[in-house]
Amino acid sequence: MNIAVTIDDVGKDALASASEAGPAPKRIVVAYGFWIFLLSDIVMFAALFAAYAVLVRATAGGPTGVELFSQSSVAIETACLLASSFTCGLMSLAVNARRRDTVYFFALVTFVLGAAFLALEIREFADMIARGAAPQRSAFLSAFFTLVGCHGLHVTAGLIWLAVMMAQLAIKGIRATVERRLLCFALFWHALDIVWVWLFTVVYLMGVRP
Amino acid sequence: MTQLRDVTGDPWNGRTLEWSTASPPPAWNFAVLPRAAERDTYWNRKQRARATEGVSAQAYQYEPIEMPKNSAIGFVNAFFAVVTGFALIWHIWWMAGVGLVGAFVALLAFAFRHDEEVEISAEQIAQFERRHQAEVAR
Repeated sequence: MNIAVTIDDVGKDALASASEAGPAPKRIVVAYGFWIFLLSDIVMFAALFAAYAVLVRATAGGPTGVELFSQSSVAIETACLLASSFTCGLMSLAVNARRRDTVYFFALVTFVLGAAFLALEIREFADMIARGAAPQRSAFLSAFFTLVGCHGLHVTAGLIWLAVMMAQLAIKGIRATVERRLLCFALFWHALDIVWVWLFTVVYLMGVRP
Repeated sequence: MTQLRDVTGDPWNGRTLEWSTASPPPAWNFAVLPRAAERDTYWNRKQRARATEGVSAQAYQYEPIEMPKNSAIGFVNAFFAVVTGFALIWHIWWMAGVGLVGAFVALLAFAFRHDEEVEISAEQIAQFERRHQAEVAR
């Protein structure tokens, strides 16, 4: 006796569950995939944080964090990055509202704030190297430049990405692919902000404790 | 040798839905999204078809399927990654620059493509299915 029902006998309504509605919309799939990438990126930063934490006292007689870090410069850097994250959020809202000029405006503000952060960081690095605190001076400085430099490289990549996206917006307009890429950019930019908050705490705040 | 080739996509009389499409499968895998109402859905469907002497060959209403376009970006960027890696290992800085710029330009070309997707028409899918059904019946 065949008690099983074939799929052809089952009414469509009887099967109306989430998975029966077909694959998730592309926007969800893309954002999910990008989250996986971000998590792998954060795993890498976790490794660099661990290396820094282990090596922070290994100064080999060279300069320590207390002598090197400029609190005011780092405070301005942090303010720039947090503000750029806020304007990036406003840009996302403008994308959703399909107001292209507003998107351009907030993208520009985000870009300028990110560039200001980067300029301050590069000046800080150049200043440290000029004072003999280059990456090859001690294990502490190797770990410092790797960790903070890696974040700086991410910000650089983000700025290039943002510039490319503005070109795409000008050429392609607000369409599904551009919207999804801007969504991914926003996720990336906020993730960089989160990493910077850890960096600021672990490297700069804990670093100047006597 | 050609007469040994499997044309049914189901050489071992399988029980589960992955055997219900052609082999090799088309780019869109399934012409109609299979609905799994129970374990061994495909098996039961085949049993039922046998009981009714194969009358249950339903005429599906095929719908067009959207597929990502084929792209060489993966291969091209892997090539530039090899160039960059080689150059960095041997400290050939100009070559590392070529590799990075090449990868970036390739990515830009990919990002600025006009059409990212192709739509496979319902007619094309129906044609493939008819051909497959004919091969199975043979």
